[in-house]
Amino acid sequence: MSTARTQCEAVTQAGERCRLPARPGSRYCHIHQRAAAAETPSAPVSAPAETAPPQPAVEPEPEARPPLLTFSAEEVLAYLRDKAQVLPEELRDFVLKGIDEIEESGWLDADTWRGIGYVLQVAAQTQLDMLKRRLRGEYEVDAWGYDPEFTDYILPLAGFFFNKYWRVEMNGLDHIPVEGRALMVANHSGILPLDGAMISYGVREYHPAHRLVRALVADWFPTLPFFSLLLTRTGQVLAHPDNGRRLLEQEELVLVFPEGYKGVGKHFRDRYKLARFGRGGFVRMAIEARAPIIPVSVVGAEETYPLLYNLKPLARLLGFPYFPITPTFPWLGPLGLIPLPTKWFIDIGEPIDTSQYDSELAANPAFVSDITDLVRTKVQEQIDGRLARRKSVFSG
Amino acid sequence: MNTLAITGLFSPLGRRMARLASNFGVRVLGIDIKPLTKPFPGVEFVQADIRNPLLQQLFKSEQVDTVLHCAFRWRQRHHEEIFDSNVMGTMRLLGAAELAGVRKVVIPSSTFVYGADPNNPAFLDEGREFRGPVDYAYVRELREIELFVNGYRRQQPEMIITVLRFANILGGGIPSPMSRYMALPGPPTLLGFDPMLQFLHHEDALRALGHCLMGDYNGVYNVAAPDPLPLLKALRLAGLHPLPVPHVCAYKGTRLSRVLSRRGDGLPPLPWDYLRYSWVADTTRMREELGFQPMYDAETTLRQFGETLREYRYKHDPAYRLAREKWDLVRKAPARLHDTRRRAHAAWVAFRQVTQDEGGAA
Repeated sequence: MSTARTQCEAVTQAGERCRLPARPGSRYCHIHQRAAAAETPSAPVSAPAETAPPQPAVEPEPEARPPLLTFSAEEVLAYLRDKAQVLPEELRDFVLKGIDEIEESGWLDADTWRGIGYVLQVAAQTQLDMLKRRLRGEYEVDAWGYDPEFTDYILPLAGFFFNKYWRVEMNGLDHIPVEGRALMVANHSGILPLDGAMISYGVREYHPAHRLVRALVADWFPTLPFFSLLLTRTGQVLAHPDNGRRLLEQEELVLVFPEGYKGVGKHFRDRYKLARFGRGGFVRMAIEARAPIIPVSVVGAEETYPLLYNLKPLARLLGFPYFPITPTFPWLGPLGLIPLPTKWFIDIGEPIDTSQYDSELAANPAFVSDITDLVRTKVQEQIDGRLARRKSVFSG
Repeated sequence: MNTLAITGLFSPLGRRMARLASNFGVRVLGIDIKPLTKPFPGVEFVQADIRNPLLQQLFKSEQVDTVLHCAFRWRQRHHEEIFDSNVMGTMRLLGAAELAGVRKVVIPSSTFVYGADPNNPAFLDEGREFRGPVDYAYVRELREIELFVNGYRRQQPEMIITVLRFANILGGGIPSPMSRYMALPGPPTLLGFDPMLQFLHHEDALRALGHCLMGDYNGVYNVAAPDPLPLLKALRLAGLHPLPVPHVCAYKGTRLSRVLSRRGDGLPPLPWDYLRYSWVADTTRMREELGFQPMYDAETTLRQFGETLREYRYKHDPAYRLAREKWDLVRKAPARLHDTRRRAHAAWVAFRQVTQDEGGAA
């Protein structure tokens, strides 16, 4: 059986020779066969293959195939421009202007799309590679559980809340030392500990040394799934005197919220009134480690979740430290967890030098209480000063 | 060291320490409750229970001056007999050793004694109190032994008692709750928890014991590889695929299986709390006072252990073997397919040439 086929002998309407192969046993292709048959009905339509003279196989040229698209984007636009002449004048101008804009914007350039595709591909590949690497266990986590790669990955989310949502204004960043140990003491507010995240993000992004803030978190969080993981992987540590002392000895920047649950589960009418500063454990920590105490005040976080009532029996039943009733929670379900977009101010005060005190004084409860009160007063003064200057809760 | 007595000779740790010590030319007296089935070269064997009062005469007549106490049976659930053998046995052994004039006793223990608790600080040193529940028998027994040894050390200041709290020992056939946990199919983890864990290469455990037999260190020491790792990273390094379970289901399921099963088989090899709360044993004293440095880091240990685990399963688990062979087929399929396609194409080209030649000839 011969595979050699001949080319159609007909001439197309465009005046060129037809490129299609002829049907077996015929001199024409399937299109021209019918036309030829109509012209010359006497012509042999189906001659037997044996009688047909063996014709030499015509090699089809590679560039002879018809292109898939016979027009370019510019041609389409030219065509549209041509056709737009029939439109009424106002509409015509509008359409022509639109066509011009399309041409100028570069969206028509194939290289633009190729570039976009390339960037997306590289981005997807990078993410996939990172995932694969992490699934092989090849990533670094320090002994405290801090994972720098993961922290960098979720940093943009914190950045959104810091820059866009709460438009945090951070003052006094130069009071934080570029290196060496320091203990930051801040007021605690809002029902979720979001103030710690904002302070950490601000110091990490805008401090000249981009220091990592190690916040000491309450002992309820390690028992929660995902939340405990999120906190430890971003460098937070359980609030325990041993942990704080050890971190300070490792020359870290430590952040404590001495109010604890009393600060977070505060009634709305008590906003910006500091609760008791624990038993002064942080002062003992700082004096023993000879670390400066830096008072930090956060204004704006109290209004993110206005707590109207603390449902203590339910909290006890669920094992929570508090169960907040706010205007939105629990009425709207998970939607009620969305914080209000208030304007935040974080003021970092001047450091209190503790190296002047004898470390034996850390064991003296009266002395520790004095220093605790001093720090508390400083934080309260900063809060009051900011509140007096603040005009609006939402726009500052 | 004149004579070294090793209790629990047939425990993996005891067996390997006996072989090591006899290779070093130490006279080794092996004691075990089970009879000797095949000869143990270089070891004088005595079949005895460690609670036997005649142990004192044995130590005296054989002039034993060092005892390595490896007779500890790891059980999840409480058995009166095993509690008696583990705790009372250690007490009687120490008493007999004191009366027979033994100079030094080395006791391997585990960092499990600290207990997993959400209020633990990140680093626990040797002086830290024990916390958390004791519903696992081995945790309870190890704690009892350690508390007793602590009190005993105060009474007998001239006797050297070294307690080594080993982190999770992996490899070398040494049974630890962690190695049995990692051998479970798809080791279950608690969803949303990833605590820091410490590991120790089996050779480092032997080296640490040898180090304490050679020198005199009176006290308790944590022994662990220098790098603590998160659980998920550890499992991934060993080539295992964790199966996350919501923690509520895990705790409730364990309670249910505890009620349903008569024996301890229904319990996971280690308490869930150890897979939930994060803490790390502080190894400062190991480095500074003991002067001991592990040779292997945790990453190497885990990679080696994963390799051993896969080999073992391939040899002994027919289902795993079948699955792996099938998987190898699937994995190599693209190459094979490509090969087939290439061969088919070559055949087609040859066929076409032949037919065209025939057509030309016709």
